[in-house]
Amino acid sequence: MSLSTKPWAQMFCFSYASSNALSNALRLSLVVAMGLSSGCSTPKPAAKAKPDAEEFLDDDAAASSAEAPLARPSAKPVAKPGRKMGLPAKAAKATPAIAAASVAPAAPSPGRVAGAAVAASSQLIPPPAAPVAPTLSKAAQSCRDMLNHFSPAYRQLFTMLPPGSYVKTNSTLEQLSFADLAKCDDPALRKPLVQAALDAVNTQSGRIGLILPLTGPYGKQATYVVNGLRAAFAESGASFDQLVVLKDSGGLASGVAARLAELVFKDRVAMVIGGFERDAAVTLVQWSERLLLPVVILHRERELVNPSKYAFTVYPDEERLASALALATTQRSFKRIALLKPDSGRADKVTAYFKAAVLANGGQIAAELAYTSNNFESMQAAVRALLHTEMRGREQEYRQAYKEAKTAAEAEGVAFNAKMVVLKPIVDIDAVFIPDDFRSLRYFAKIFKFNQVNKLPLIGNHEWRSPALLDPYDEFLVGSIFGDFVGNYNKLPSAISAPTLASSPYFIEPQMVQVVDFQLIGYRAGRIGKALAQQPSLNRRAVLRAMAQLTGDQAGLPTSGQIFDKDRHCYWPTYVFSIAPHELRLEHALANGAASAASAMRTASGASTTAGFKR
Amino acid sequence: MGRQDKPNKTVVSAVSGVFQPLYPPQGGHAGMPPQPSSRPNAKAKAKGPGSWLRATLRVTLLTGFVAVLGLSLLTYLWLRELNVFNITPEQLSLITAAKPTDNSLVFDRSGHKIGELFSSYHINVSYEQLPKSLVQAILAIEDRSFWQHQGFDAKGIARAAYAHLRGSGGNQGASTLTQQVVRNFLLPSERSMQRKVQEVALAIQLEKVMTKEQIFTVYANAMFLGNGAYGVGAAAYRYFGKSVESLQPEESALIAGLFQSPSRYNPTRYGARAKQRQLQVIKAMVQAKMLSSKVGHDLAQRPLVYHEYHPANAATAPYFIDYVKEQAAKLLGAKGTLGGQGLRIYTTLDDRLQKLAEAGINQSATQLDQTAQRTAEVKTADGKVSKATLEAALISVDPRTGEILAMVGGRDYHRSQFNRTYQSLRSPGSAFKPVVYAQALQQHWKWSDVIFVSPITIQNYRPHTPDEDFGKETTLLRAFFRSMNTPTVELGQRLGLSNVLQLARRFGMRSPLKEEFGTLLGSSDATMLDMARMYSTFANAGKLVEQVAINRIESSKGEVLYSVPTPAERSLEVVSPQIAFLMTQGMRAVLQMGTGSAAAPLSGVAAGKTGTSNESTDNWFCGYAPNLATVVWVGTDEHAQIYGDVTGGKLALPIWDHYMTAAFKTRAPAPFTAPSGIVTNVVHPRYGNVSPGGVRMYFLKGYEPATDSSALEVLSQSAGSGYRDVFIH
Repeated sequence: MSLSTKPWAQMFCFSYASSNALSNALRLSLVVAMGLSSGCSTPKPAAKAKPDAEEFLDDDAAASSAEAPLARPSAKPVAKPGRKMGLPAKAAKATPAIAAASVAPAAPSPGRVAGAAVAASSQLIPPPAAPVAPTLSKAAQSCRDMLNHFSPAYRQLFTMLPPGSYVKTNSTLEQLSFADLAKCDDPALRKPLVQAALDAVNTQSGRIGLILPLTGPYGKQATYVVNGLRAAFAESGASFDQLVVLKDSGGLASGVAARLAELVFKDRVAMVIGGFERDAAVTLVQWSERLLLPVVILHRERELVNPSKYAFTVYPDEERLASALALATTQRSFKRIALLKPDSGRADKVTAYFKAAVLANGGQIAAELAYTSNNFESMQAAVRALLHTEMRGREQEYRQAYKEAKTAAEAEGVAFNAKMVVLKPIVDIDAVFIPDDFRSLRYFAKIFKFNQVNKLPLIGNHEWRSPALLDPYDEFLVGSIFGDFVGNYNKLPSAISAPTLASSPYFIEPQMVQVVDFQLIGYRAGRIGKALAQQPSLNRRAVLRAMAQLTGDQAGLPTSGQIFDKDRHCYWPTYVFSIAPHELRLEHALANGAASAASAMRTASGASTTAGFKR
Repeated sequence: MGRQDKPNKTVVSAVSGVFQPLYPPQGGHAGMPPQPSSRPNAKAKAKGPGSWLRATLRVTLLTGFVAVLGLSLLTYLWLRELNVFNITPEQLSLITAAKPTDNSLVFDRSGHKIGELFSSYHINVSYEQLPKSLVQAILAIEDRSFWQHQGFDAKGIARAAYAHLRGSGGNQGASTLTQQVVRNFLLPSERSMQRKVQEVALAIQLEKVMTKEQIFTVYANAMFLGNGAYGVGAAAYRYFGKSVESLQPEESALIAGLFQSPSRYNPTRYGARAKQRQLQVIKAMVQAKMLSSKVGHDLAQRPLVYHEYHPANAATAPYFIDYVKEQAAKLLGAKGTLGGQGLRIYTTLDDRLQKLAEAGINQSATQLDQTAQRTAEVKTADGKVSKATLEAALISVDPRTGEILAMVGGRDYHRSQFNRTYQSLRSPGSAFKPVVYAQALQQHWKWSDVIFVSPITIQNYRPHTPDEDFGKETTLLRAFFRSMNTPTVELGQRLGLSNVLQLARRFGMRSPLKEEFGTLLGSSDATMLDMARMYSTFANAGKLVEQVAINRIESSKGEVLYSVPTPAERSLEVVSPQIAFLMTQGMRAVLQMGTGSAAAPLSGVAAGKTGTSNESTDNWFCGYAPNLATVVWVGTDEHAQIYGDVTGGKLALPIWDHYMTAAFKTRAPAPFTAPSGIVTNVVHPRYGNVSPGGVRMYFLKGYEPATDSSALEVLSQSAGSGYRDVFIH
């Protein structure tokens, strides 16, 4: 029977075809959906490779756990409690990608065999033999995702608790650490589970954790930092001992993790300050990322905090200092700059920053030489190379000078010393950058003079700053400049004891210099901590927001406005000094980060200040 | 000349009688030969032979008488012309009052005679002091009949003439002692008959007015007897080292033999000849029966022990005495020599310290001689090439009074009388540096101030410092007691060269100072006296008291011709007592822990500074206690280089140490007393901060280091991590 034009027949055929198409489509979508849910053979959607961790801290997270649009069971096996899992060395230096890898991936469908899913995908009708697991609701999936993020992290951290340091109390954090993800599937259990997890993560005691290497090679400096923190708390009448939990890392990265575990499980701190050493900083940043725990890193390498939005740096900024110096150099019309740096590597960073800044300002780097500090011969050789007074290439001239010097010695009846033969210098530079201590600087000044250069501006960093820079007085240094992180010591926070020398407010007792430097770091970190302490109601995100919005007044910095830039680096003030006859002058200060010419002309106090230093 | 006698009438008449003409005078003038007479010849009877004989005899006698008279007259006239008939009072006084020129005597501060100043060496003795043997010996060989003759000895003259004709020369001269005295005092030295006659005549006259003893005494004191000695008193000392009274007979015989020819018979040069002469004298004594043969034989056998001849005043402080002589002449404005003026010069010399000074140099003789082997070769006066001789000199002064207590101008006065303490200009080297640091302290630098040690250039001048000091810091004190050069020059540059040189002159540096920075390191020459003035000023709380070697000069009659001004009148404040004290403490540090540390045991009571010039041509140590300042120098007169590790600390310091240690046993060192306005503290020697492990330093009150921390020390303790190591971790 052929299809006629009978309407009922046409209608019957159309209906049949449509129903067939519809059922095929349904079947196909089911297969597709099953394939998707298997996760074995199908790639994860790129846009949602990892759930946004912050979302777990959302207040609606618990509420959303009640919805069940799509269930995605977790497939991650639960690790047995009690097994310590230290952060592997590889993970210790983890990049964000590696850190992400430590987070449990999106839960694959349990019980769903990949091969069966692939096979099923090729058929519109799922194989009748394979049992079909019940699909996860969205809420369940969210629950699992959240727990997958936090639970392993806390569990791992839990294993780092030193034996005997913690008594199990079945706290919410402990529960979170060993949460049974299967409970996410049960709507009745899911919501309380999620709420409990959120509570666990967000509950904080209003106290601040402080992890520093109080023992070990940096114990002294760490102690100064602690003292600075104490001063910050005392200044506002707060009790350091009540609000700060101080932990000694012993100078080891594993110690940092262990202390962090105590702080988190035991003390439920709102934030952690630490990361004094590089390894410690890396460790804390990684945990910061995993735990979504705000940390303040006290380390020079600002980029260490990049992996975690919850990590901030509070430390003197070399790059900013170098920029300020480069700006001052430009303002003095110094174009051709030579770099003389110690070969120990200590000044490599600031030299690199300075070089980049000079070039950015249109200057030139005429020479880049290294020498060995405390090696006079090495320093002399560097200067000779800089001034082109080496014999090489000037042999004839040297012979002539040698002959003249010898004749003069004989005429005077004195012993001739060949080392005293000096060629005329060729000075083709405007200034020399010497990021070394004041002692080396003094000798360089003398070496320049010995080589018949009576005037050459020098540029330096904070290590120049010392009473010995001006005493004994050396005319050669007049006009030289250096940068520092501290301005007028009398204008430091009163909580920082910095007794200046009678001769100048820009100098303090040398034995106090390092003390004040680190106290200041601790003080500013402490002000930040103090601003966030005693607010147990703040959840993690709120703490984070509060930190990002901290102002200079709150942080004890001589600036208004926010103290952290967009990269969460503290705006540490920078000061440029110049050496005048018998005195030191504060040229200008950069209180916040803008290194513009306009802001550079402003000082913290509004004008350049001088302080005489009379011997 | 005597009064003009009237001509002797007897002679004239005798003469006129002799020349009575044979023919009576006819109208002729007197004296004119008479004209022949016209009277007829008188009987011209021929007599017999007897009358002719008588006439002849008469004529002969008359002629002879007239001749004698005439000769006598001529002789008389001639002698009268020579003025020999009466010896005038003036002439007499030349002899009788003649005393050998009175030597000027030099005494040390205790009044002991230490020397004499003379143009010729005399020791006047009286007749009574002369030993009998000496008198006899002189008379036996020179004038055996002295006691008998009247001034001349005719027999002796004849004897001498006879001996002369025979060619034997004889053992006696023809002149008596009296004649020799006359010849020595009154007559010129040329040999002539005229002089001889005068001599005899005057001798005769002298005998009338002086006794034999007087004549003999004059003779014994006046005659030159060789080696600069005039008179037997001087000869006794010169040859035998004893007074004339102590002479033995054989020694008297030797001295007696010198009268004839002191050069020929000089025993110090011609011992054998002198001995022969002595034997001649003894023989003459035997011949004159003054001695028996046996005694004479015994005397001849006795050995003669001569005293070693030294130039006069070589025994005690000869260099000092030379200096005193010069100073006395200046003080009295005397031109020429002071010797012979009979002055009594009372000096400042301390004989005990003088001996210690000489001993101090002598005890280093071995070291000096060994070191001399390392001197550069020099060409001597005779054109030969040899190692230079190493010399040493010492001068020691009381800073409070300026009195020179000891002076040794060289190692051997006999070899060289050149007085290196004031006649020699030498480079003081680092011994000049105290002036630089004193100026610094005056300008309120302090010992704890820091200097960065590095080569420096000042107008093409580049001082040298051992390389190991470059690149290190030092305090002023440490730079001073280690005698570092570049810090000193740098300091001087800051202070101003002219300021430093001006202060040096105030310190008593009288020698010219070159206006160049090398002077700060002692390249300008100075004398040891200059240096003694400088260091005495430090010792005397900043007051320079002009140096003196003479306290008083009196004439031989006791009249005070010169008296030294008091120390107060001779003093000048150069620096304040506080600065002087600070410098003293700095120089004590030189002994305690610096270049003078070989004498560290003395650092509790003394202070000082080494000095070494380029190539070690001059090596100094200048040091003091408040009551004794001593400067020692060692080097060669030829300014020869001394090779090897030679410094003032190695050569001069041992001498100074030896001397001062010994001197302090008898002359206790006065204590160094801190004046008001001085504070002290223990300070790091390199970084200048108060530091318990440091060295003690002294400061002016109000200028002490206020801090117990130093950036340099903090840096040094950072173990390479840098200053303000904020980024260490």
